[in-house]
Amino acid sequence: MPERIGKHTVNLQNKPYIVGYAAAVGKKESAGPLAEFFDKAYTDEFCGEKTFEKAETHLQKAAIETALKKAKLLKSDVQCAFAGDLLNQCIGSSFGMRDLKFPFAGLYGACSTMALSLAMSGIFVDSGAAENAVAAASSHFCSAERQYRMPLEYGGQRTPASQWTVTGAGCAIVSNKAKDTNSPRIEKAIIGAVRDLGITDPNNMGAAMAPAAAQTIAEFLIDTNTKPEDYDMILTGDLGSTGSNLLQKLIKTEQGFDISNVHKDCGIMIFDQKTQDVHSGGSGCGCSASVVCSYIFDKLKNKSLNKVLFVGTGALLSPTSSLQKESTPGIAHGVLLTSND
Amino acid sequence: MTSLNEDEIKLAVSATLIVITAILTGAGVFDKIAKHAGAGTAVPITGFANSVVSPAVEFKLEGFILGTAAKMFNLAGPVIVYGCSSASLYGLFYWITTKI
Repeated sequence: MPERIGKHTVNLQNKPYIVGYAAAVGKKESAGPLAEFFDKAYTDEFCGEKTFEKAETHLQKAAIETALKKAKLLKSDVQCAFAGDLLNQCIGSSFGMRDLKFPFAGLYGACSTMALSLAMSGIFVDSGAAENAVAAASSHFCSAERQYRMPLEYGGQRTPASQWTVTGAGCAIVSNKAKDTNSPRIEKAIIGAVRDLGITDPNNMGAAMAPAAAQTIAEFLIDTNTKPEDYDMILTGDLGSTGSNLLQKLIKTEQGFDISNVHKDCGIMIFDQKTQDVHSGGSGCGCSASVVCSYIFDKLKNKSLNKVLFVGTGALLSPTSSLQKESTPGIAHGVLLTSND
Repeated sequence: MTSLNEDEIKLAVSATLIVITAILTGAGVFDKIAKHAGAGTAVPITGFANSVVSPAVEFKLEGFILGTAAKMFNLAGPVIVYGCSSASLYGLFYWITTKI
């Protein structure tokens, strides 16, 4: 049964297993440093569909179906799916669920959705409410740009702190039974609180999300009475280089934790910052989803990583709120992923 | 070959820049040029043409009426509104100061 320890951390006593996982990405991501770890790569930005929104649904469905196949499970074996994306009314996920026919809980945690869906699936499975749960998230550069920013062909300048929305999706199947002795596990989860330090620049999401990440990481370390050195990696979702620097400084000043030796960020890992022209790094739900559901789980499986605190980070802005000069609230949810030993 | 007088040439220059920008935007090249040229593409009339054509291309998936036509002036609309308003105000001011 899940049990709360400390302030907000939830201990999953049975440590649910990740029995299958998959990542499907676009062309730019498959030209990045993590290319070899992705299950599927599409060179066509439409993924053979008519619109970018349908392409995003296609990516998420491909990730879910591949993960189920790798887990050797049928659609009927899944009791609940937790999935989300960045599109208005979460259509990237819900439209895919028309065909998958799982019981489905749509999530919106902006770019923190993968961590949130893993936390929810972990808690559901650990409590016995489900034997197998699907955790998934997706984003698409083109569908996000047209919703949040400018038309694709508009010749504007991007700021140094701006980030590149990842075209990609990731899915993990969380189960109460191990598939083999190497299945990674979810040990703990923490649902973060919204934190807003008044960042109003919608092109600097790293700065808006870093305070929330610092808060969630510090709370988790305090709740579990651990230090940053106890982890092989503290992995944030998509702070980019701007947000990562801010996080490391902020958590040191506020709580005295020095995470610089173990901190990595999916937004920095997914693209080559020198050659791929992504400015501060990658972002979007698909960023952490595709990195965690490929590279990270692979490393946990072969035990080159054993303890990863994955903290997904989200900027809870909308195009309307930015126009109305609202600041951007940040959120960060965490899951402790471990190898099976 | 038809020859153009000075006024016609001024119009022809603008029209040529607009057509070239529209073609380059439609072909998906203009944003790449703009990344390097910066204000060199935004300040002349090319920036305006790009801001009309790019949403028109982007939103054709939502249909020609509520997509292309409705979204075409998403970015350029404010320029037209405030351009026309300030021209009218200036005209009024000019008329008051010179004719009265």
